[in-house]
Amino acid sequence: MGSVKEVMLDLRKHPTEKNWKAFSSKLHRSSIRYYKIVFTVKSSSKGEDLEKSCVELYDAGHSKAGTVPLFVKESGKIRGATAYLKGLRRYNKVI
Amino acid sequence: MEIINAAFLGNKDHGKSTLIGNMLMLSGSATQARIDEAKKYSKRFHKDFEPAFILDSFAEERREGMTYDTTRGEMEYRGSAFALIDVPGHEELIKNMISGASYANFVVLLVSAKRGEGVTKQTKRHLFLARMMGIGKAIVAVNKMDTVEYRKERFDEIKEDIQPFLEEIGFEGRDLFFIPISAYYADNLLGHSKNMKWYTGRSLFEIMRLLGGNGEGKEAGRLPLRIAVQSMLNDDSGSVVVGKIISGKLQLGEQIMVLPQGLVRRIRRVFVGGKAVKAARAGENVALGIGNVETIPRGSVIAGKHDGLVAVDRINALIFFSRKPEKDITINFCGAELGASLAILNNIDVTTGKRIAGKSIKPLGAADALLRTSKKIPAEPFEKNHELGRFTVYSKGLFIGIGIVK
Amino acid sequence: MIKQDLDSIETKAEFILREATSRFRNVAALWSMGKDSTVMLAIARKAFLGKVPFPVIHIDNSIDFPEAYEFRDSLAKKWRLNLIVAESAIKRNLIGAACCGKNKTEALKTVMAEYGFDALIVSIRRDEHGIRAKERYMSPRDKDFKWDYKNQPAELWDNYTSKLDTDGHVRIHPLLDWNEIDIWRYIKRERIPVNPLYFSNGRQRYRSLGCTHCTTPLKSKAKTVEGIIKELEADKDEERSGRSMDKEREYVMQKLRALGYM
Repeated sequence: MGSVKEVMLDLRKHPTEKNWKAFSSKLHRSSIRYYKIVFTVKSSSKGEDLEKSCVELYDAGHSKAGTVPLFVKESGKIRGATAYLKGLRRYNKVI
Repeated sequence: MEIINAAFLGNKDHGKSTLIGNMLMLSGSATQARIDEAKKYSKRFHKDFEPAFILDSFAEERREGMTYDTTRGEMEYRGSAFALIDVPGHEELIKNMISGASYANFVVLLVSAKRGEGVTKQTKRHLFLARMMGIGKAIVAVNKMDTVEYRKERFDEIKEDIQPFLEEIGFEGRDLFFIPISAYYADNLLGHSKNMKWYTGRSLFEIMRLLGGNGEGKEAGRLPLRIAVQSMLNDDSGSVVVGKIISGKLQLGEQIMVLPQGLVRRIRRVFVGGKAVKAARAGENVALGIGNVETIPRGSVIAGKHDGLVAVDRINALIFFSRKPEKDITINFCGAELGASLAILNNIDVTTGKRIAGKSIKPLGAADALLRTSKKIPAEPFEKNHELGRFTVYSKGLFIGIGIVK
Repeated sequence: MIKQDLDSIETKAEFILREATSRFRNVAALWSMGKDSTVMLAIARKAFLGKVPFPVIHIDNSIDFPEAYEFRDSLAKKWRLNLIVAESAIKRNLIGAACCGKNKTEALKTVMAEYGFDALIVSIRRDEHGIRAKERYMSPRDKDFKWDYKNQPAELWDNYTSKLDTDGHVRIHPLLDWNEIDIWRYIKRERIPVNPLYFSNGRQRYRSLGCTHCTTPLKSKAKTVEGIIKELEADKDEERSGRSMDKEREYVMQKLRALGYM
């Protein structure tokens, strides 16, 4: 497996369970601390929202570390992936 | 702060929901969101603002303009807090009324002063039930005074009509109040109405404040020890008996008796709130270690060893029937169900409080009866101990009435 | 908001929990990792000599907050909870209450049937919403005769909510009497752990926690339980301003009730 950045790239292409698990296991040893869910289109269906949205990840200094999808896709089925972000905190930089 | 429960009784259309809605609003206890919603719904149903909507939340109720079930609003004003419990006035819904009123510290009876709407049978039935359930304080609010030009004569008429009945069923002078109001126009609710200068008594809120707080907690502490067993639990050291202390108090090391079994044991462990303690008192939920015992079933009662509490299977009771029973009945006493049979001695007219001959059971009526239970139970007269002195009655799985031990 | 005597309402909740496990064969509780259901679990620990004797169900729609999942797993471990995670689907073309309601109800029905639970502890409070103001300590709604919590057997069902009949279970509501401010005062007194999202990150906090999709934060600087209590003392608004679900009309809520969603 590669670095966190490589795993994130894989995820964006193929948000499978395997890739999510890999990402999750790399997470706590990485510098990523915060997540920010960016819902692209809100107040449409939750299902569509999932695919169109993403999660921005930030490090302890609030610098952006990358982006991952918000969903897991396995055999055509979609589920949310927020559980894989366990350990992270909501982005809280006060401007 | 202690919240005093006030049950609002009375026939439908006499304005209970309006009264409660206005009490909540005027005391500042209804949130702005609730008020806005009530306004919105008033508009939708083409009415002027209906305070009743503040409380009535079921869609059907709003549409049909009546209360189906008990509901409550909490009111805080000038240092006192009340739960205003609205119960349905319909005859078919008497069971809901019983549920709502059962928590009450006192009742507020609403009677309409409007011509053609006076004291009804249902009103009297509700009062009889309330008194039977142990509520001894009542406020009779004569409502819709605005429809009779706020005239004292009409108020007096209604007061004279109902006072004898109230006294007959046991509401006494000091704990019985009469007040003229208009719920819709808020006359005499929180303050004193300018429209009824002839009335020099307190406002409704002031009377409620006077009646609230019954010191029942202190009373319970002075009575003998009674615990209704809920179940048994196990921990590493053995089994414990679990239940709420209905009255009295207990200490580690004390001897107790479990009824109806007649088992005598010493209290070896006491837990309250998950912690081991040396003593416990009325109102607390306890877990007691009393050594090795066979399963003590739910509905058993723990009392002091020398209290003289006995288990019986023939009980003189007063029973109110919401429905006619089939032959076989069951009763629920202290949380446990058991089979029973009834022999009616005489009927009681709940609208007068008087006993009348007749051994058949009339729905929405009451009777003196001899209750025979399939097992012995440690019942006590209702006056001595409310929890051990009452039971609910079922027939074929349906609720059919309530009873108290005489 | 009326601040009630915490000992009294705690005792009552404790009593109701004990009644539930005593009267029903197979009890479970819903846990959303929210403050209310967590308080309920804390009280259960007191009632049952230090442990929670019934399974705890999390209906997971898979887009809950990461902090909620973390809180769930750490508390489940610490309190040795028997945790059941029931997955609810996310369907397209449904939003807000309808999305949460229908799908969560489906998941709940499935897990109830699978395990055969006959009673479900739900931590709703009367002050949360008009319709909830009509609830009873043990449902199905009305027609149970209550004398200090003495309840009818589960065979008594109410005609107005007949949809629940087929499920064959009773809802238990131990926190019915609690106000929002009582919950926080109790959390403070008992030092109960809660999801960190309830506290402000400097700008906002969450007053009520749904999933990431339908919960919106409110402006606040309250970073501690005391801070939240102070804000509540000053505030007269309804709690659920923050969950888009509840902005929908009460008619919808009532439909959800009939379907079995809390």
